[in-house]
Amino acid sequence: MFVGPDSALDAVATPPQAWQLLLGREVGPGLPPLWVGAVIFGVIWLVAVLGLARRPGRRAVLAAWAAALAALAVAVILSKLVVSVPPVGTEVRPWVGSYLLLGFGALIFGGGMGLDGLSGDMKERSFSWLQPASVLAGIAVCLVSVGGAAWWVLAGAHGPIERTRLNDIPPYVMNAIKSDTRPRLLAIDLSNGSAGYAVLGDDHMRLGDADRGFTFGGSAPAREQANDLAVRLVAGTADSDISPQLAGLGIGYVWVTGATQDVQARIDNTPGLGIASGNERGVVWKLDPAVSRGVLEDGGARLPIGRSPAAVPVGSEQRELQIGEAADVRWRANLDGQPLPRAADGWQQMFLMPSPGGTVTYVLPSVMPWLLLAQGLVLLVAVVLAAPAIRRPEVRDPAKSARRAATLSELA
Amino acid sequence: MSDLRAPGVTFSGRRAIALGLASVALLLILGGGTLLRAEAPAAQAIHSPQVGRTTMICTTSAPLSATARAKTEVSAVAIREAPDRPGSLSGSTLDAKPVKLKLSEPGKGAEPFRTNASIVIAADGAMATASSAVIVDDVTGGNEPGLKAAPCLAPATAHWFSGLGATDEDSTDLILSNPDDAQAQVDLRYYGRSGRIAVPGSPGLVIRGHDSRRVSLADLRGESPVSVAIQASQGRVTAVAKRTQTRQFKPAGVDWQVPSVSPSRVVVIPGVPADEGGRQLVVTNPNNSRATVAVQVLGFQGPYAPSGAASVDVPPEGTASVNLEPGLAGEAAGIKLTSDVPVTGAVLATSRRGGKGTDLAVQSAAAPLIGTGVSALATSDIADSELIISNGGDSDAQATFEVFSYGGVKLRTDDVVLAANSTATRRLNSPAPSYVVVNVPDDSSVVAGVVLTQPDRDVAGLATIPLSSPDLASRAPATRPDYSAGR
Repeated sequence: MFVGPDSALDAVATPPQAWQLLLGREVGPGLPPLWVGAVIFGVIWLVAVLGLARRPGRRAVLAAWAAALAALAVAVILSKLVVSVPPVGTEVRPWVGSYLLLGFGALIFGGGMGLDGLSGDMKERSFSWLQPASVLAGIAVCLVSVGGAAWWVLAGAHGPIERTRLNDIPPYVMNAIKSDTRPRLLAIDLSNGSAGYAVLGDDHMRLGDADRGFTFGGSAPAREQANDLAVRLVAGTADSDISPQLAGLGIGYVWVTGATQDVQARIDNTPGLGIASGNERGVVWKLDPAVSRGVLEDGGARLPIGRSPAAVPVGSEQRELQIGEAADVRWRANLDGQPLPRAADGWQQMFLMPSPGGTVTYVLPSVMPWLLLAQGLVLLVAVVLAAPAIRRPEVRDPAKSARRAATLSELA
Repeated sequence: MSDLRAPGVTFSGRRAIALGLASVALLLILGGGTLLRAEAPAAQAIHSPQVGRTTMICTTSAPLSATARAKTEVSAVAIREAPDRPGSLSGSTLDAKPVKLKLSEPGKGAEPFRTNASIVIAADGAMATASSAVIVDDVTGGNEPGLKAAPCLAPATAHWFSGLGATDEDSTDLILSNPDDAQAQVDLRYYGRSGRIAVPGSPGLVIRGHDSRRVSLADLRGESPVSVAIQASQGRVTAVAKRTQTRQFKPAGVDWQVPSVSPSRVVVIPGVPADEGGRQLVVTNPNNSRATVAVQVLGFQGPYAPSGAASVDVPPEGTASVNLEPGLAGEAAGIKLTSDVPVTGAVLATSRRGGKGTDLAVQSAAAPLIGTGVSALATSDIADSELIISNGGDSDAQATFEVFSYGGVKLRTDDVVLAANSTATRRLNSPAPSYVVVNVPDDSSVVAGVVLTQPDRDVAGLATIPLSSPDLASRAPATRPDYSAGR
């Protein structure tokens, strides 16, 4: 509502001009051509102005105009701002679509209130140019409404959201990301002279990822380290800590697009990165040895752990279960039903593991299922309340009626 | 809903007032929105990456004959770049035996120490992007007298060598070293005078972890000069070529040849020494098409085309050479190669001083300095030193050079204004040992080298050390989160 469908979609885009906002423009993809928008919003402005001219003193019309102007002013001001959105502090321009909706809705309301009864007035007047003009205006309003709705339906069937195949990244990398070990992918794009990067995992990208803190769950240390690693990879420092740190973040693949041969050679120099491969779009390096997001660290040895529940072998007393997810007090882990004590170190959630083997289970309890249930209940109540009801005919009690009549006659 | 009624105001008046106020409000919104400046996103903070550990290898060759008196020293320094961050510099042999090299204070240098084995220098923390080292061989007597010097090199997956010798009088040994635990595997491609040379056994050469391997070019006699491209398909290695020249079975010079920069349409070879002697330019063309290479000498007064060597035609996947001696006329310079296809190159310089033995020094094409260029050896007690700075760019550049003692004391500082495509030299005579730091403007194309000469010896020792930029992290472009990068 405040930052659009996803705060990471547009980031800090170029702000629209004020006149564009007053014509309902530049509030996101999926808008009609300028002339269509100009006709539709021009008719709205015309109706509102006519309504104000016809009923200049009516409180409802004035209130609607005041609300519309206030909403449009807020939209213009907000479009110039840059705000930081938690949890990762994504910078974004506020989405002003909701304010424009409010503003133009108020204009339509004001226009409707102002023009209410216009047909009656026209009947009482002698025939002049006003009657044909009113009819033509009514037809124009109808055409614009129907045309706008038709365009909205037709355009909505083909966009602006469309399903595309994410086939730039080699399929084996996508399969690995979804495998039991769930390694992450560091994607670096060098196409525009700068280095843009993203760390992807699990279901690749989903709407709302920015609000969930992306793959690191909003962990600031993990995010800073990923940034640091991206800089070092692109710079070609080739230091020997890069691979262990990538593995520590659960990153098992590095995917680079738009890199020159020189930059590819620099990244290639990094110890621990395997042989580069790729396609015409980009180059991918796999870390060697392979990376697993969940790891059982036992005296320096790192044993990959799959998705929960996972089998773990017998080991030493000094071992830790690193699950590769951001630290959160809600995480719970069990070994054969016995809860494991939490350990805090670094960005990720860890648990102290005893020496016996068994089946380890780790889970982040969430209220989301209960919220869904509550939403369903609320919806059910709303449906029941909104259901059409049949009024039961009043059944009169003869004795009661007689008593009431007697009382009334006594009072009289 | 009721109407607002102001006494004494007619309906037309109310209409005019309402429409006027609405128009004024709209104009205010439009005007204010146009005049209001849009807020810009917060500027990205300058981010200094926390580089962990980098390694360099200082390569030496096999022990010399018993009649030779050799002094092989490694010098290592750490420039003062981020004094508030901890860091350390330590050394070990290739097979991980520690040596006495230890440095923990930025701005200082470790006392040069003698060695007869290749040394791995590990730089941690702040020193990972602030350190430099050099190895110098000073040999008298025996069959390889002369001065050899080379910077210690970081392991990489690709190396280019231009114009290696493969004759009885000009032999080359490539020394490949692997500092990592895992084995490395490399493919060697050879580019001769008339094109690519197929050499059995050149692909899939295995170098075990913490080991080095020597590859002789003796089998390629008749193909000299030969260029070699080394590409690691597994792991990474350092590569250095040991050049040895003889004339009529007498020693005529030795040197380490370090890799040239990867082929590019414009490359610059820094630090071609002054004085008399042979100057042979070798150019490598790894492409499938013929290369036409324009040669420019970056001289004191600006660029000029050397007489008889203004242009070089290089066959596809081949190597060509041309004599620069008449064109240079004994002047120190840089050499700029401009080609229609990517090429790389090197200059073979020999010393010549009346009656004395000659020595060889090879200058390889180098990448432009980024921010800071360092040579861990500016002055020493075994040779005279001269700094040669060349600007391969088409605009002027002002560089600053500073000479520091190994105790961290600044001994000399000077500004050098470099016109476009020109060269400047400075004689270095500060108390030894010292190191030199050259600061260059961003996005400039400045390269530099230190020339070591031994005018008073029986052999006129000659060697060059190209300056390199240790702070590789600063060459990264602006980096920012971009969630569309993986789409």
